[in-house]
Amino acid sequence: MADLKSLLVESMLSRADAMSRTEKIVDDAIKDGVRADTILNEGFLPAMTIIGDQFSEGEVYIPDVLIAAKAMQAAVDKLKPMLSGETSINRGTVVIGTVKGDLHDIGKNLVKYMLQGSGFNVIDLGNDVSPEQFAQGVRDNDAQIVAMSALLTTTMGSMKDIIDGLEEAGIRESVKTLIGGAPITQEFADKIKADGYAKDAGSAVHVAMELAGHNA
Amino acid sequence: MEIDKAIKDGIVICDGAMGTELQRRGLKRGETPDSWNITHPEQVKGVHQDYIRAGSNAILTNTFGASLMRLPTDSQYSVQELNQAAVKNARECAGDDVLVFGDIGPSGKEDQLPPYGTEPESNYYDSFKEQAVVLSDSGVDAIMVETMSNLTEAKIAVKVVVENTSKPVLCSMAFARPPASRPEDIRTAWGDALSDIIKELTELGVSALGSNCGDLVEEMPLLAAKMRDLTELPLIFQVNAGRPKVDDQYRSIYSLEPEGLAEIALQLKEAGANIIGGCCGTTPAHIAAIREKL
Repeated sequence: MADLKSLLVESMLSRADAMSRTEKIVDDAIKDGVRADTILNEGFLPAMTIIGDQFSEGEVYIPDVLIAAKAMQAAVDKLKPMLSGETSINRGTVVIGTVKGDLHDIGKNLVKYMLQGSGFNVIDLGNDVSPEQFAQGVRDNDAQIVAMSALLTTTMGSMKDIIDGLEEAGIRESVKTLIGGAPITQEFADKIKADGYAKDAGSAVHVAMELAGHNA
Repeated sequence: MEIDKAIKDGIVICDGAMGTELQRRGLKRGETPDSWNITHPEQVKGVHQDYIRAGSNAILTNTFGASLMRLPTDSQYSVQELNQAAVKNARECAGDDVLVFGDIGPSGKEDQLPPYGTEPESNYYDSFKEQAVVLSDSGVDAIMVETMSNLTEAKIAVKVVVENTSKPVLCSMAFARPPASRPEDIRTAWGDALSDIIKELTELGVSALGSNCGDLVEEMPLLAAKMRDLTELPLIFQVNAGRPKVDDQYRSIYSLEPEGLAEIALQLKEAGANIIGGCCGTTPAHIAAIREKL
């Protein structure tokens, strides 16, 4: 299905035509008898990963990711009723938020779209999220991954508080922590003992897959 | 002092980072730097004074996040209170010889702007307007719209200043690292091209434009040269002190030493920059090194 994947990458990146072109590819595939879960698993999921990688490389820009995510969401909505029982695409639950004191939404939203597009169930706690709220979010949703974003040099330290908070709540061992944001580095992730660091929304998918135990 | 005259007199040297300097003075994690204008005015003034002493002849108010859309919902202080206090702090340190730029940062919600999002543009306009008017009325010399990575939002903020105040407006964009396949194609993370940025901001009436923060550090002089080819307007550049590292308190330490930044500042000047300063991670020592070098 390499063909479907490439077709989708091209259509999802076609800006103004992305929605209609992507819809047509899906309709044609259904007409040709391709199964809904094949369209998702061998079409959209790898296509979204490729777009994420292109974003990491600087080849495509934020609007491309936003539009691609929207086109994919529309297709998923259409394909959902056709999915056969347990062949759904849930790769795990991620609780995501921007840390306490930080009001930036965008980086976090991009990661959210990319993870959703890659088959994760994503619970968005919004921004300015406290350590207690992160811990609560993990418990309420039985999450496997906590993803934190910080865009400011003055707020990145809060990530340490959140990881400590998970420890205090007694759930540190049951979740993986994934961090990212403009001032964040691998060195920082190592220092606060985060399980994963993603330098951008594209690499977040690969790291999340690894943390969730999927081959990426 | 007027900004045009200052530029005619030579290179204007801006200040460096505020947030990390306030952290050194005790700003805690999760606390917004903007609130310190009211709760710790002496500390904010201490930062301003350190930069002026180091050689800055223009300083930014501590108001990067002091707009309605960015302020935490549980903020104890209003946009008006924060911006008024911030200008007062800056003005007291600046006197008449140092320029005060009223700082406006991005909303942090650029992805909700149409056509990709559903938040009406008027909400952004109103949020910027409230902040810009208070900054202007409180006595800044100019307003600086900075760290913008989305041209649509930058244009809204610039338009606000032009339509609602009589102050000059400077606009500074944050750029992403260009892809390996197109190393000369420097754009914002939103994909805005240099030529569009310069054309559209000039049409709106900016007094100066340039770049701060973002992914570019050593590449800033190249960007300055490219911008100089496209415009005769004054150019402003505020550069990060490299990439952040971490200290034992889990605070960020930036890797580029004052000497390294001063070297970049010299290249910026040679490329045609008029206003030069520091961004994330820079300190009074960086500004002093720039002053010495230039």
